Amino acid sequence: MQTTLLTNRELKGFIKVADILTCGDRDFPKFSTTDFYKKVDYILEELPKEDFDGIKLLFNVFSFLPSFLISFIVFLTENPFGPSFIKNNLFKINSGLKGIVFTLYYSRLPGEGERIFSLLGWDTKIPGYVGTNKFNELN
Amino acid sequence: MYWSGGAELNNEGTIAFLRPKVVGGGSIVNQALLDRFDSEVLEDWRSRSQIDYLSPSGLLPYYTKAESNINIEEIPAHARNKNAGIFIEGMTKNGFITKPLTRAQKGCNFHEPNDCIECLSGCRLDQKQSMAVTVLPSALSKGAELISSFEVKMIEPHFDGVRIFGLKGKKESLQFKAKKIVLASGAIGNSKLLLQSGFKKFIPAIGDNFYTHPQFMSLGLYKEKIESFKLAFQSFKSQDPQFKKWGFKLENVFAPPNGIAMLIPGFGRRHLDLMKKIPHMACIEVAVRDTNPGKIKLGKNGGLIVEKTLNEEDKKRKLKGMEVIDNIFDSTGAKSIIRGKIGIGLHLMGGCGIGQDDKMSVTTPDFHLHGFKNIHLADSSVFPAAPGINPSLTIMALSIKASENIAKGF
Repeated sequence: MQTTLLTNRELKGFIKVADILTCGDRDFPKFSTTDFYKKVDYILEELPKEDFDGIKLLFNVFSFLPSFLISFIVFLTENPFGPSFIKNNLFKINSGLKGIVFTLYYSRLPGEGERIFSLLGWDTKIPGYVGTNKFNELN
Repeated sequence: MYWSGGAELNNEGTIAFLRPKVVGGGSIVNQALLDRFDSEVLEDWRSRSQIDYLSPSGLLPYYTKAESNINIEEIPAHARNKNAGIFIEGMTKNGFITKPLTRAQKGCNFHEPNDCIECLSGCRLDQKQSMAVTVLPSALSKGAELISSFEVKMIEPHFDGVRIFGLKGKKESLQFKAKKIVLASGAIGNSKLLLQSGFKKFIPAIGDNFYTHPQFMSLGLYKEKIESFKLAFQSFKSQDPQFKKWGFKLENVFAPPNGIAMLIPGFGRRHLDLMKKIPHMACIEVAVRDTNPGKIKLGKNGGLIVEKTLNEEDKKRKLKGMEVIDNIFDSTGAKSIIRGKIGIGLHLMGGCGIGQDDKMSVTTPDFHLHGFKNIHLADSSVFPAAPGINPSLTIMALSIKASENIAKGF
């Protein structure tokens, strides 16, 4: 599945900020080298309208900015300051951006996501009978 | 499995509320911890609500019935993991008392062994005693019909019952007519629906007195591997009378990597370097018995707003709990400690509190809305204040009591 909720420009901004949050290293992949972005709609479609509109605007702005400036903005959201209106919104932007990016990066998505779990040493298992209770799949 | 793509934030952006979006609600994603409320909590509730049955003897038959409907166990010693070991050792070294947790579970195949942190996303073994394996199959066998993926957007009282309007999936509008309805979508869900449906003008307290036992996780980093994600996820709690006076409890917990990633400060390379230490992390959380009630509201465009902050007393409780956690980690050889960046609200309670006074409360002692006899509530939204104790068992007990009253109306 490709994203249908973000424009190409917004997607560009999203991947730029995702690369800053999850930059990877010798072993771990940089966000842009994975295909995690294809799953972003699963998260975006659940957002309330105001949050969805806000995040699209932010991605749009990021698409025009150089990476060092986006890093600076992310740094500001990490260390919020100022009057409560500004501080609260910086906090929310921080959680919103990290929530989307980290959920995709650290959710054992098939392929690279499984490899990331393996690199983290996260080898949980639930052996034995897998339940068939139909309610577990419903929401 | 949660509303808003994973979490909803408070007005400050400092607490993330995890509101389940699955059939079975919190019982699917919770840790199935069961405790009765003690006399001190129920006395507080009775004084706030002026309801006499809110006492240990008044709720005894309902606690007993709730417990008999499910299987309750402690985690066997061989299934406890190193995270639990650190918690017990640190608590003991610091002179505090611990107690094994009692859980709504049946076996859990711990002999396999089984890494049950996976069960935070629902139990694949069907051994967690959630609604999906207990009351729902029973209700269906008696003729109930279940409609999933249906969000009720509005309810409307009529002379002959209640009209229900909602969306099935994203687009399909459905309407129902019922003689009576029971709202059980939790503190935020029930409050939001009643506000959307315009009941605030009749019942001014809707959305008030929202509590959540704000939880703050700290991670201890050890030289050796702890592997907190292995074996039983959570098996001990604090049981020290001092903690009760200080207004918090401690539990040894952990979270999947996407959750740990949200707790760890920073981003980029520094963040990744800390994430790589996951196998070396132990984790303890402080759950504050919050004194500052929050408020659930609708914004100008109908969006949800949850005003929930810590007052000075709540901040004091949080910091004291974190100090105790630091001491536990220090006394067990942690090399460093990371305090989680964001608070978590899992116990979503109140907003439609129970009480005699229709100005101060939302739900009557008979579990219907003040002034609306066909609209009932039966879940944590009716809690009048934060108990400081895991709410699951009392939700079940009060719901059984509510069902008796509701059945009388037919």
